[in-house]
Amino acid sequence: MEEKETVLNYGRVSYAVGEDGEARFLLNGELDHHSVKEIREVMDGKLTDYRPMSVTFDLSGVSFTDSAGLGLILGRYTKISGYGGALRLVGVSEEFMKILKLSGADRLFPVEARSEKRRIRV
Amino acid sequence: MKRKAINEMKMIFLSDSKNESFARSAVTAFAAQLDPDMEELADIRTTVSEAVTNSILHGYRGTSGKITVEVKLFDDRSLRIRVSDRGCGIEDVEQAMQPLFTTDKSGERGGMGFAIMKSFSDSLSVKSKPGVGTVVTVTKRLK
Ligand SMILES: Nc1ncnc2c1ncn2[C@@H]1O[C@H](COP(=O)(O)OP(=O)(O)OP(=O)(O)O)[C@@H](O)[C@H]1O
Ligand SMILES: [Mg+2]
Repeated sequence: MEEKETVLNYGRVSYAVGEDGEARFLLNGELDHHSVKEIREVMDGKLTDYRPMSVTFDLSGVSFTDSAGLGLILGRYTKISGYGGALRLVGVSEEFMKILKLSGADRLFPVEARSEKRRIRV
Repeated sequence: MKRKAINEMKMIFLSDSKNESFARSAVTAFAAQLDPDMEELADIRTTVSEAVTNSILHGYRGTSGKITVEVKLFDDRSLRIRVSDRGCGIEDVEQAMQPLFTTDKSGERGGMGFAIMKSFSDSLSVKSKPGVGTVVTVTKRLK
């Protein structure tokens, strides 16, 4: 889907949709209670308008996530699975992987760890 | 032998959600004196974020109030972080600390804050009184 996709930028979140209807959200910066509000609005707008069946959240540009980031993902997971779509997470940091495992969210949808070379430096 | 405090700091800020990022950066910068590794630093950052966010979101519920964060560093490479608010307090602390428990009705919270703080530190204590406020204390021993 890399080749033929349209990328729309909305601050901390970009939305990429491929010709096959696959959708990818690229999240950037810190995902905390302060920042998730605006990200959530953009994501919900796109999910409501296009109802993509195969959705990827790419977290490789995320430098921090806490329980508010987990809440953001769980809320969107509920929405996507509600209309019959599937979600998967890629680019997950080691720290956020611990949170996903602790909550059991890693058993709800496929979760892929961030590769070494793409790791965000702090 | 009793551990000895080697440094301490205290900061007070308003319950504005912009201060979540400020608080975790300030505490990790201070804790850097103990030379934590990347994972320990990330654990401290997340723990502070959870406690401060709870004070803003649940303690003060969008109203303006003061949050105090105190950090003490000890000679045995441990640190103690205390986050206090004078918000609404917690009726049932034991229930609040259960993983997945949340009083939030929006469906946007996992109820994982206390579980994360517990898992990412060595000890977690929560003292709270309805109408008075909440004090969350975590300690962590670095490698
Ligand atoms: N400082 C506080 N003042 C008042 N109530 C609090 C405070 N901290 C926590 N609580 C209460 O304890 C509950 C559990 O907190 P916890 O952080 O575990 O989950 P959450 O904040 O609801 O969800 P999440 O942290 O996953 O976003 C909260 O829903 C809230 O009712
Ligand atoms: Mg919380």
